[in-house]
Amino acid sequence: MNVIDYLLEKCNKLNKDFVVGTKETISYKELLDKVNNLAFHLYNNFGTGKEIMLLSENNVFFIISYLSIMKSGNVVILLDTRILENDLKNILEKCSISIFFVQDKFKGKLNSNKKIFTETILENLPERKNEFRIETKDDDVAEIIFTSGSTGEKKGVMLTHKNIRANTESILEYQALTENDRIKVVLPFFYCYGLSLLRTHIRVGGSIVLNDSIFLGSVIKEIKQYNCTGFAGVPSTYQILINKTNFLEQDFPSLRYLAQAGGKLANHFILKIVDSFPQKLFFVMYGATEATSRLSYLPPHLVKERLGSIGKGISGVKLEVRDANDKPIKPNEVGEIVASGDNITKGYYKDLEATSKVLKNGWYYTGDLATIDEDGFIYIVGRLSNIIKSAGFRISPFEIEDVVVSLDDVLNCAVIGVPDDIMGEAVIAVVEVKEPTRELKAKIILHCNSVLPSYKVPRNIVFIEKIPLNSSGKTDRNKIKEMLTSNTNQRHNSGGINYLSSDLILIK
Amino acid sequence: MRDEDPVKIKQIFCNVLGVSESDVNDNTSYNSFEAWDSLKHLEFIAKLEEEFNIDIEMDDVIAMESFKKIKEIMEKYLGRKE
Repeated sequence: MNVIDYLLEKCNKLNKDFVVGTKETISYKELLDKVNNLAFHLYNNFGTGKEIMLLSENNVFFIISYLSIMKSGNVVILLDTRILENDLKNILEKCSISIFFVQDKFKGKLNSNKKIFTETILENLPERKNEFRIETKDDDVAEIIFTSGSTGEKKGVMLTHKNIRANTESILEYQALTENDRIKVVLPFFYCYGLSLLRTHIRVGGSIVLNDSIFLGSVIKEIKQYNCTGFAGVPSTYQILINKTNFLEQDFPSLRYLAQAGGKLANHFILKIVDSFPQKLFFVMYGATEATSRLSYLPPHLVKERLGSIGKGISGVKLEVRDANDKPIKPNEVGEIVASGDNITKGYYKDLEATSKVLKNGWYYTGDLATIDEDGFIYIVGRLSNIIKSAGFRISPFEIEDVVVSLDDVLNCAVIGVPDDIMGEAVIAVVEVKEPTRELKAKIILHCNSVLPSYKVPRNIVFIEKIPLNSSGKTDRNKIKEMLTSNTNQRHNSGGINYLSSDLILIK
Repeated sequence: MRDEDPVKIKQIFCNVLGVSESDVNDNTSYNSFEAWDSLKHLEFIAKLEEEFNIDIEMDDVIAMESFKKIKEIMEKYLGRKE
């Protein structure tokens, strides 16, 4: 079954709006009609199996285009709207995209000689009375998401009709979403987490409130105004709301749950949220684009008891943590998380080499390092590539970050390793604060000394104006490393202060 | 607001967004100006607060959706200060 027909299965019985809000809204009936019309139009003019690019922010145009492209048996290629010119050029060279769905404001990113559809296509679509359906095979690719990977060329994760359906079913099961659920969406749909919100709410017949506000703080008003039952964010979403607004002091009568995925939110922030909203469910979740979206969740009632855990695999997903010899680890050892299930990608687009590195014997190797407790709950300690190797120790940046941000003066922190002649790598805490001072620097070191073993205590604290984030809202560690190196080089040239100096260092 | 303040605001805005001053006018708006995203906006607000030593209220942060609005709202803060 075509996954879009599965997602839209219950829609024709619904007499209500799917997208709710101040600017754009659309009812289920209109959505179904438009998707049917556009899918037929695409099939009629271009056939099936074509790669079609979609570049848009979250809006009705995105939703209709996204659903219609796959419904017509074509493949939708999703890109970050902030994609750099060079990355876009590489992707266009690699793929054979002939048709483009591009929000008018991003048209300038493409050559004008391409076949581009913008929002206006939705205004004058030929009517198609009967429901149009194209059957697809389970293993047919439905979407390709180019990930905001850390280094090198972007990789296109191919997700099949089966992948999407399997993951949607699993998420609906543990979140127990119903027709009455309405989510305030702030995550972009070109990102797997944002997409999962879109798909689950369509399938269940719920509704969504989009966000086009300039500042995240607007969600406070909108969750209340539109009686939202759910809210989902990445760590930076919650950190911005906690640090820059009075989110935690709010009473959200309609809100049933808050969800967090997309990286490790420091325990300190998890506790603040849970303690501020004792009546709401707080879901800590874990996933990957290669897994369509979701891999695990921690049942909300365990969030304090298993603080910092990502829980266990969701239904339909097997999760294991394995050592270097591919054997399951014992409690408190560290290994790599591997996953199998119907939601796992069939590979990277035109990249067998990269695919063979992550897909082995039916398992997906996530590159995330984790430990487990006696009861099998999983705790992520870092990325394979982010682990700091200092004086023979393998150090997780997360544990140190947790300690640093637990200080009230600290807004955000990223711990990274920098090359060091003696230690191999030296642990550096790059810290965002309101006012960098020598006293604060000393306070952070002192605090680390009091709770961390000596080899984990940062060798130095570097203040940063703003922790850079990538487009998925995750700490951009490579960027920070780059900033550190370029800053230190400049300083070396101009008189020789380095990042191990006892002076107050502030990088921009 | 002093005469040089609008110039300063524009400089800060352009520095944060990494655009040239000729690209920005009163009609420049969040919804149609690609370089202006929500993260840049936060950064811009932080810079304004630091530069002018003010605390911008959340409703104003949300309302600053065009360059014209930014100037109008800033007038409120800077006018009040004098």
